[in-house]
Amino acid sequence: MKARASLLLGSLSAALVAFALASPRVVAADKVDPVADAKAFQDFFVRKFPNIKREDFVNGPYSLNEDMKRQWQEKEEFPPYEFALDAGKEMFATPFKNGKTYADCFPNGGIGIRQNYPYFDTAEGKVVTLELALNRCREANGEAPYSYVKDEMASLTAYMAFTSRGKPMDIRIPDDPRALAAFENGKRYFYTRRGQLNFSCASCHVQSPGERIRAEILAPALGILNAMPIYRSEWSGMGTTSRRFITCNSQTRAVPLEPQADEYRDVEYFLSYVANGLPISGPGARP
Amino acid sequence: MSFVLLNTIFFGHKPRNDALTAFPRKPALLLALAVLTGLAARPAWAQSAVAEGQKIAFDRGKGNCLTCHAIKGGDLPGTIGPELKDLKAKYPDRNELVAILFDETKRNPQTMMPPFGRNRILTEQEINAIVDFLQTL
Ligand code: HEC
Ligand code: HEC
Repeated sequence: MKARASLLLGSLSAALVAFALASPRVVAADKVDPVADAKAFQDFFVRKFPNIKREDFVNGPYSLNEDMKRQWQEKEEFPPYEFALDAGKEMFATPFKNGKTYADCFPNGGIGIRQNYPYFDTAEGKVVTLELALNRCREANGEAPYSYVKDEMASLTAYMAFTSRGKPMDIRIPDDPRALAAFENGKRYFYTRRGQLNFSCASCHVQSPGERIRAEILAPALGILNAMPIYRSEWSGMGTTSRRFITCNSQTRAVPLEPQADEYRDVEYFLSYVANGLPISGPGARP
Repeated sequence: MSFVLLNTIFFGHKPRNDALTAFPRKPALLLALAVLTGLAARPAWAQSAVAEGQKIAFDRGKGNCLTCHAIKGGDLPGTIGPELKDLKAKYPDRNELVAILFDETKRNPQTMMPPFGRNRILTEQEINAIVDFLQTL
């Protein structure tokens, strides 16, 4: 029985925690080990959904349900994100007032690089996301930054994701204690319960993927950013990673952070790193 | 598996957002009334308490129980929790149900179910009304 099983798991884990707390050696041994974390993370989902291929997790809720998968494949014939993709392509090629373009701000002219974002910038000592890098590029060239949540930002990231489709996520953690700390901070943010309803990100996307919360099927946390940005019917438009984080926080009565707040940058770093090896599938479309 | 699930607990005891959970202290009188509402035999208003309980349970701004549980009479239920039925047989003592609604993390630290009483999402009266309703399922 489901309730019993989770109850049992709960008390078992409580016992393990009590043990860990009582034994400082165990806590000390719990060092930050991103490689082991990523493996444990991926194995957890692969074991939980033995019929799903690892690379298919990037399709969010659609990977978990045959009916939905069919709907999605039909949708992909006339993808609702196409307008954003076209707009993004055009914006990307249009020079700023100073004559430079986005291509001047990025490695390889910005083409086929989405899988390397976010990265840890050792000069700044912080995580830099693609959205942040795009606005910094604009500001460095005398242009006003875009809103982080939709419209132009979604179009630009849609185009950049598209040029990386199929490339495996490839996030590095440089040999810098601050990079490790950012990873650990993102992990902590992901697993911390917050808000009046007492949910963590993991409550929904680790404990309950594939379950319905009202009518929505919860996406697995593995590969959850590979399809960003996404078109959502509920939004009647596109949304970025920033928009999704804010929406998840506010819909569960937690106080959302500002887009590109340090914690959001870190949680994006954590979620992207543990999805290393899974293909970029963005831009995505969701119900 | 342990890493992925256990983290929920290791990091599970961070301070919560107090701005949301803070709530003016209830006068003792109200509290006493709530206890009475819950315990006293009161056939005269039993029916209306059940109807009230169902309303609060289904209300998206209150219990919103259908988000996770299938419940007779409710539309579009989620699948995160078990269907709520035969609860009187399973929990003959209504206080057990009150405790589950008040704070299910006591029984199961990893539960998804929000601590409706502890986090002041529902008042004692509201919880008692819902329990009246649950006992009819
Ligand atoms: C109580 C439930 C709940 C919580 C807590 C929650 N989410 Fe979500 N999340 C959803 C729902 C519902 C959706 C939309 C359906 C879907 O795609 O999973 C979603 C979608 C997402 C998506 C897009 C997935 C896709 O493929 O479309 C991301 C990314 C995401 N959430 C990240 C987070 C992060 C990070 C947190 C914590 C800050 C979080 N979520 C907390 C319910 C939740
Ligand atoms: C976000 C998810 C969620 C919400 C909202 C929720 N529950 Fe639950 N509930 C659960 C889960 C999961 C369980 C399984 C037991 C556990 O996790 O400890 C559960 C268990 C229960 C049980 C025990 C059932 C049994 O057969 O043993 C009762 C009773 C219950 N819930 C009532 C409610 C009521 C009433 C509400 C609304 C006021 C509610 N729940 C809202 C997730 C939820």
